[in-house]
Amino acid sequence: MKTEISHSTQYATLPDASGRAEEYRGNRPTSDLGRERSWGGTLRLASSFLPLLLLSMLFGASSFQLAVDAPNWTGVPALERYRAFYPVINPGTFFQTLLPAALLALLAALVCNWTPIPATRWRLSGALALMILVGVLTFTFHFPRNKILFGDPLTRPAAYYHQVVTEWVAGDYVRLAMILTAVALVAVSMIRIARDTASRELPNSNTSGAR
Amino acid sequence: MNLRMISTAIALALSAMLLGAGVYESVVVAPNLQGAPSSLEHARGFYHATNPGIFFRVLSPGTQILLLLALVCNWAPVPLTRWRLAGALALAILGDVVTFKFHYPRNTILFNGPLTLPAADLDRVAREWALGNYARIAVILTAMVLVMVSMIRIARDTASGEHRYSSSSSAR
Repeated sequence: MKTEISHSTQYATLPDASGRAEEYRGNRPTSDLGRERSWGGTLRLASSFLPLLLLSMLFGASSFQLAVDAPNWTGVPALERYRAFYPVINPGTFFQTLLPAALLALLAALVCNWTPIPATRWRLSGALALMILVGVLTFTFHFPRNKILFGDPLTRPAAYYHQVVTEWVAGDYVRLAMILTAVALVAVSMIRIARDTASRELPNSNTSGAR
Repeated sequence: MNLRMISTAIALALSAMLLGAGVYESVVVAPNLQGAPSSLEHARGFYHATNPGIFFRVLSPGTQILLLLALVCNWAPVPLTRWRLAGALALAILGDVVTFKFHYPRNTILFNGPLTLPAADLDRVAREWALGNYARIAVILTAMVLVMVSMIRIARDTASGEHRYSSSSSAR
């Protein structure tokens, strides 16, 4: 004996979807309805995943620099050793690659999520604006101090370099706070997008059949 | 936002920080260790107040504790999330095992012991250290992806009705 069950009938009476039963009735199989949404949803979600990864990495690397490198910039001999230790590649090379990559990823996420939810659009815009501000701060505040500490001849008194290092560190705290805020904005956006693109079949945890 | 989501989000942020710092070490620090013994002398001279070990010895256990907390908070609701978070925790611990078994002996040679080995041997040890760091980064990246997927699952699982399909709702 052969039993035939159509897709629409099969999924029409999910135990936790009673309130939405009307939406599942129709000629088209429900799996197609899900698939229609899934591509756009996956793209939106994936586009928010990458900036979160890159911004978090930027935050981690910046924290490392603040916690590990900066305390060692104590006096002229230490700065000389620092210069001597980075002959091949220096931290600037790393950040000058990672920051534009994070900005591009954020822009892509913003484009992919421009229409569906205004709150997400503004959060991602805010994160992008903050990261542009980080770039501006780096160029206008840190670069001149980097030049004094790591480029120019070390001919000034030690107290002068101590002052410049103190300023650099204070500026870096501001930069870290901005990156952390951007990370939080992207994370909240990702959560919102994940919820927005959740499959209709995905039940609440306590009644989950997908356990 | 609930405890399930917050604990996972913080674990995600910490594992991402660990990843960023690890990549920074591979990209910025490791290439400069080549050219021993002078490169190593410069490194020892520079890291006199703090060193990368101090940073990782705080961040790595912190990440593991938060992963454990996220695992406890998400133990019951969705078994798949539980196993993903357990996998992430196992990988984070594996990262530390690699550090203790593989990197610590090489750290001793590169940054503590007398630089009496031939330069070629020191460079080889530095290369091994860098290769091991790539393995560690791969382990942390996998853990981070597992946490991120868990977070997406938790976000969907804890979504209120009006948050789903906002494109067809008034929540715009």
